[in-house]
Amino acid sequence: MSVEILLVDDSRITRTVQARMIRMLDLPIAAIHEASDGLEALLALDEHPGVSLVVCDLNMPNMDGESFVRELQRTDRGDLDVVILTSDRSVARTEALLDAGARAYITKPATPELLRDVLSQLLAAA
Amino acid sequence: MHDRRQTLSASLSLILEDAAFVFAELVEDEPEPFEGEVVEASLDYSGDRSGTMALRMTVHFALQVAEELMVSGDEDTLPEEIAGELLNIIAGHWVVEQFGERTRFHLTPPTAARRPGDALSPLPEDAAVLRTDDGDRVDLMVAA
Repeated sequence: MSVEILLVDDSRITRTVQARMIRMLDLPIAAIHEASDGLEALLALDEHPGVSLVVCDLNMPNMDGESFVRELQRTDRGDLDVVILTSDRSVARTEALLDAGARAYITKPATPELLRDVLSQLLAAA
Repeated sequence: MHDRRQTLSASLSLILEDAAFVFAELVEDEPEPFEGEVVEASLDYSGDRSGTMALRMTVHFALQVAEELMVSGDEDTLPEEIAGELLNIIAGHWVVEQFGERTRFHLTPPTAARRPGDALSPLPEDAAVLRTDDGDRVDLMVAA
């Protein structure tokens, strides 16, 4: 079953590199959508209801990753798998995000192998 | 707390290698000046600890990194995007290395601007100046 992924990051560079990396992972990807912050991501989820996996940065303008994850839990899309991909390596932040509802936490720069492992596990469990 | 210059150097070299596939080493002596226009990115970190981090590289080097990452874009803005994103990753790595993994912190979005190589503000004493295998200079500094 092919999946739709939403990439959320305020850096165009990061979204470009991540999208390319994900496409090279030999996973059943139907489409990759992009958003530049949490607010755009919520709108993107309305526009693309087929999205089942979100890869999301933490530090973004307008709505950061933690706020996005918490807001998502208040909607009917709280079942979405959200992977946090961030430069923030602190344990405190990791714990807070996982408590808020994120399914996984990866620190940048993510290797293709780690991305594949995490995304494969989530897709297999879906 | 670890020696700041060493941790800056370690974070910068690690992220250059992992994110940009560039190998670089700390320059111990007086560094050669930058050649050409420089892009300088900066951001603030706040929370348990606060300060400002800045990254400098030549516009030419930033464009090379973009090419290495196969990222295209307007040459008027691409170096700034590259420097800003690298700084974001470096800052996230360095704050934890310097202050511990339980540190809570927030990073502002990076800002970046170009300057002539001979019109840069003086480096702090604990700044890390690295030189890549191809001879490009990259500076990382913190004011806290």
